[in-house]
Amino acid sequence: MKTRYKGYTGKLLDVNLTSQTTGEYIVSDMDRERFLGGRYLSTKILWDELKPGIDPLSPENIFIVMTAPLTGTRAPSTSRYDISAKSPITGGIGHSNSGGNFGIHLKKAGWDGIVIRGSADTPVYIEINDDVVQIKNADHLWGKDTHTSQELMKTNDFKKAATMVIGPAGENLVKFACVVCQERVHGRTGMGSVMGSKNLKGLVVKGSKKIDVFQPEKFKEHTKKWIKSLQGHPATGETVPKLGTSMFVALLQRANALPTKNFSRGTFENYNQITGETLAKDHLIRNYGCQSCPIQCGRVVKLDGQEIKGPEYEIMCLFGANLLINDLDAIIRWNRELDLLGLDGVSCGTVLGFAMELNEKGIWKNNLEFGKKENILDILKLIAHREGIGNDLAEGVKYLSEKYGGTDFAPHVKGLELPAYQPQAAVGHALGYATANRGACHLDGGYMIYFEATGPVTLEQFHHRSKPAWVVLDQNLLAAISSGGSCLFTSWTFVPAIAFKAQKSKIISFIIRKILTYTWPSITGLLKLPLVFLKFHIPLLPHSKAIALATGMDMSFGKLIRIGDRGYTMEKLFNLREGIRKKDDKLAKRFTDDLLVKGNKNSRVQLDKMLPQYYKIRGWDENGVPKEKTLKKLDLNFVDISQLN
Amino acid sequence: MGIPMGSDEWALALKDEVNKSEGYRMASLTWEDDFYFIVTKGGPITEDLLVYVDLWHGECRDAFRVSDPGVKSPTFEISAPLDIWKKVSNRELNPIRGIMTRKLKVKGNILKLIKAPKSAIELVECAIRLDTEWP
Repeated sequence: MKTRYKGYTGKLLDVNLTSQTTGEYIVSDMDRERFLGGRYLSTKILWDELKPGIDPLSPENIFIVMTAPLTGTRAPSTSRYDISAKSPITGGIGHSNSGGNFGIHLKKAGWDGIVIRGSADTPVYIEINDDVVQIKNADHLWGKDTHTSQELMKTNDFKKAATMVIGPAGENLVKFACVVCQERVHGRTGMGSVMGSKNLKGLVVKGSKKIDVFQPEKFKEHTKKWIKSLQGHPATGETVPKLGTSMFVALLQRANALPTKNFSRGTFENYNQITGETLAKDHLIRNYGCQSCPIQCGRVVKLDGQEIKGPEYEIMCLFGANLLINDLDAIIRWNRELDLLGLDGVSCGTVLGFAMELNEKGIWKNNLEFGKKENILDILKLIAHREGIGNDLAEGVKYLSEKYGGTDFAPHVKGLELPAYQPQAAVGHALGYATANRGACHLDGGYMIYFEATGPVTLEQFHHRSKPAWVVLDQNLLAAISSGGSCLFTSWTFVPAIAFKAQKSKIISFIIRKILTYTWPSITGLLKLPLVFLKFHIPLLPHSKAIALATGMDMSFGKLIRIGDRGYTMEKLFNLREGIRKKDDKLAKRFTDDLLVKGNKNSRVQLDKMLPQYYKIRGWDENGVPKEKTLKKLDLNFVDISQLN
Repeated sequence: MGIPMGSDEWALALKDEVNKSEGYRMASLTWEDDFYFIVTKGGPITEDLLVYVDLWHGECRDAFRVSDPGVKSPTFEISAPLDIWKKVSNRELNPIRGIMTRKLKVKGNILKLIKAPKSAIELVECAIRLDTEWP
């Protein structure tokens, strides 16, 4: 056994597509303790293995699939796993997390992860049946959509296996190509095109082994309580199962935070035709979820007599309000097409909105118009196949703005397109966009929107001074939860159920808002507390105890947050080594200069005020470079920071 | 009588055709890379047939048949069996589609090629205009 910890298999598969050979990649227990699993462990591997400056679409890039210690252990909502590589859209760290059954099967096959190097001469797929690994010809799959390819891979012994594939978008190196696992999607950062560049169509895995945990009885008891708390919580037990993420359309409209017309404003007059409530009333058949998940956030909807996967909030907004389209039927159709083609819906919707504004302003004549839906389906195909204007659209917002113009209203950070939350409406969330290591990301950014607009109790939306501390805490917290293998929805119980009762009283909500906003120094204090004061588990976040019981690791709430901080900083170091600097922690002028609310001078994102404070709280210098003492605190002092300056 | 495909004579004819082509020149003003075009062994082709082509800012600086692959280190190598090259030549297979479907195998930055479709198509048009004698 190559690890003393349970929850892990102790083995990573190493596949070289150039030489068509397989072996094992060795990870130390020290790295498991430092990074747990998922994308942060992958980042450490990429740091160790990649030379800086390599082309992300060259054989030199490494593509990693990585589970985490709780993946597949029957703790609630722990089907999660990550894929990582150097991103072709940002040039920095790229990763994408997903549910579905691939991670579980991979672990059951005896592998914690897969490190994939080089590139094959001809299209291939990787087939894993416990210890038997084969690289197989994929000529018959190349060119096929993600649904068909997954079905074709499940032959003979693999009928009940898990699959992960790219569609035509990944094959054609579309910068925002995604990877699809069943109907779940690894959307962001162009991981699909990394697979495409390796001529890797997909992977299929079947596992028959048991996943052991350290203290089975206590773990079982703990997860039972955890499931109960999720089921009893107003968000994870009621709203999310009932409406899915599409519930955010109405919530964000009310908060003036629903990106509309290429993020030019935060409200859409026809929003009620594309809400979660409308979806539930007119189309919903049932919800569904990943294995071991009591939340069941997925939607199955009916369209043209067929049952298909329903759209998430991001698609409903970015193909709805953001394009001035209020046709839910059309959005459902496009959602399906995005998955079949293997396109990231978030980036794609944002790209289209930007292209529409370029057309409207006469900057780039492309026949894309706000409110015009007739050509959208064709455009998606053009993008996936890089035909006509699709060849330019496939490169993303940053490329389009550099080629044609419009940088002032180009919604991207570091090259990654913005997700569906209006930055000026939640300035902490906007700071998260600017500082997230993989580019504009609501989740990596700390998901502050929950504390600024959509949660039961919130901070003041436009208050800037309070936000950096909260953003750092949230970024570390979500990073920590993700690194253990849990779905980020499980973090919502951090806000106790009683808060949902409090929101019914205007006075109580007002008082809580003031307390949360103006006690930000206590958050800074919490972040600075030595670990010795945080050696406990907290009931609102069962994750640390679950990891301890599953693995046998010495784990606490404080240690888990520290792992989040460490992982986040490790990603930052990777980016610095690739030349991504303070100048890249920015947003378009539309968000930093334009007022969202007329007359409210705080309703723009004042990054110049927040960034210095953010860097200071993180223990970074004024250029956003981690200081030596921060690296020492985080046990990252194997990095020579002078080399990165 | 045609020019044997892949011969030195054929390569020189291609060079002349490229340098006469205004369509190629306009589509390739910023292009700065060289190629091996390779017909892979199989059927009437008894060993890999390599042609080196040096393209620079809209013109062809050099083109010749290569017997020793080590003689040059081009930025790109594009290889395919004879029947695929015939399809490209007959306009049955768009060269960019050929690259994307991996019928034309590329060593080098594939994205750079598929982002320059006009240049690729004009180059193929130049080759199509030659009186080629196929093996």
